[in-house]
Amino acid sequence: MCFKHVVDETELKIDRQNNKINFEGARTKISDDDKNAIEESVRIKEKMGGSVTALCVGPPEAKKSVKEALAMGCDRARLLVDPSFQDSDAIATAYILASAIKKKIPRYDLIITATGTTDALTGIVGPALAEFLGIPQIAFASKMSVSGNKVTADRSVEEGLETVEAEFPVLVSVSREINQPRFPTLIQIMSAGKKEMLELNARALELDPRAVGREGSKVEVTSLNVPKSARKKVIFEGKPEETASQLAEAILKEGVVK
Amino acid sequence: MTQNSSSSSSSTVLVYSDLPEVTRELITLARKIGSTNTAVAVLGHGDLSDQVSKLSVEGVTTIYEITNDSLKDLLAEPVVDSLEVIFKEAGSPKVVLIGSTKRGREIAPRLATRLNIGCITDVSNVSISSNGVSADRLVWGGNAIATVSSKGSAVLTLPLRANEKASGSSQPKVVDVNATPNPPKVRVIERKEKPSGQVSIKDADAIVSAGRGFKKKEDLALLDPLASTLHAVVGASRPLTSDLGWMPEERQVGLSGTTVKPKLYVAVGISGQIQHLTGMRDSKLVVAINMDKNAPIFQECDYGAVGDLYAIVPELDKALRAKLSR
Repeated sequence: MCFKHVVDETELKIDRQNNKINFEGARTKISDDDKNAIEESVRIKEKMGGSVTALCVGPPEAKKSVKEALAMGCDRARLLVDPSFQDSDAIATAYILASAIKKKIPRYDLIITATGTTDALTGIVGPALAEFLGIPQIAFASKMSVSGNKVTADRSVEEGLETVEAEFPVLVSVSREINQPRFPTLIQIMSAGKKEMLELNARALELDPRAVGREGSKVEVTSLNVPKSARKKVIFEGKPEETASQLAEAILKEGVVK
Repeated sequence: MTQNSSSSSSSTVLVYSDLPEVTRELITLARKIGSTNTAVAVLGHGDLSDQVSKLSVEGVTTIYEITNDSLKDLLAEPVVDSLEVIFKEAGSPKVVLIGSTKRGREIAPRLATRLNIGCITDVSNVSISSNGVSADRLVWGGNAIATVSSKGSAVLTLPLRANEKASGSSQPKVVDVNATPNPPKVRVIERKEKPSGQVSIKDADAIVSAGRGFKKKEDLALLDPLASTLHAVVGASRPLTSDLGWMPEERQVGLSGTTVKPKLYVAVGISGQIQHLTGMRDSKLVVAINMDKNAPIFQECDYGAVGDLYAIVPELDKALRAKLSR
């Protein structure tokens, strides 16, 4: 399974006056939906046997999240870390993950990712990784089961609910409603430190250095701005019946109620 | 919309969506960003002439058509195989626009990876420049807008309903592309239509949405009279749908649910997590009721009421009915 270590977006301080986002002091975490991906991987292992390897492309600080993934039940982890990976776009990140899987994971049946992360929410890494590996993908799975060498999953598409299946190897990206991620117990947290955790750099992965980092990325963020709110922001406070009456009047004045 | 003058000579934009009505939205956008040659990919199985004629709308210059049994369910792998061929046939355009349907979001990153070009998802404010494409997208849960630029060609996905559907008619050149996409390794074994007769938040003119401020599922009934007075559909935030299961997923307003743009949006007991705000930002008038004066929703609303929703909602309904004589 693959996950991302991100800055907690709820801790960012937005400075509307100066059009700035302050990252200072914001905590980091495993991206929310990635926890669902970890949970689903561990549940499948608990039911079907086998083992779960967690992969994370990130800075050295991501070790904290890697340990948490191990505490949640992954058997081993690989942190793909190298200064040259910095500023990789989503496709370059998928390339790093694909290199690690091809070179360092001799056999796998199933790759589980989330549908997107809480920071950039590009939703690109999962499908791009499947493409690099030349394997099929099932995206937006809200329910999945494994039997033999086959995965069956439900997913909602615009026209309705679809049940799809594919044989191993396959990449499944899960949506948040698939499960409720567990909170590891103290014992699990303590024993996570004993599990196998390796750091792999660019050289160990034998990847093409021209395909990673800013140079190797096909897109880059050229500016970051705070969205401007053009809302009126008229706020009423007081006794409920007075507030409600003022609110009713304001709404009707706008002519949006038929 | 800006268009760099250096690209004014000629620029091809290739558009594709698994849903024809979304393709028509993309055709409109292609024209807005200065496409001089809008090429449409029509994929499917059997006779596609009906689709081709429906997509021969104003602004379309070329239609590339691939019909093959592998394309029956328009699954990612054969669609990517097909679009790869069409991309080359169309002369490697600088911009490929894909609708942000579920299938579209699966296809776009795969296609970009296959073609070794950039990918930018859920964009607005697209412009073509001399060396690539530039577009805005929301990041950090909608707290920030990132302008992302590509070096060279890029595949972009576009939120649904962000552009008008192109209409009118044209006589595009129709190219029957010879391609044999591989059969998909994913099989659709069952498809359940969305139950009909149900109200949809997607096209509603008025929405009253519930959030974490509600203490229990039964209390949601409190919204029914207000919704009825406003002729509104009831929606909900992500915690109420995905986490608590109090409301079905299709009622979820937000980045991971449905993006809505009603004339009136009333957020009741919704704090205004960015993931929610992103889904209702295009509403015409936003009204919020919340206990917490500092809730982010009050920064994103036109009118707000600070207080206990259990007291305000019935009073608001009463006041509206009195003024509307309903």
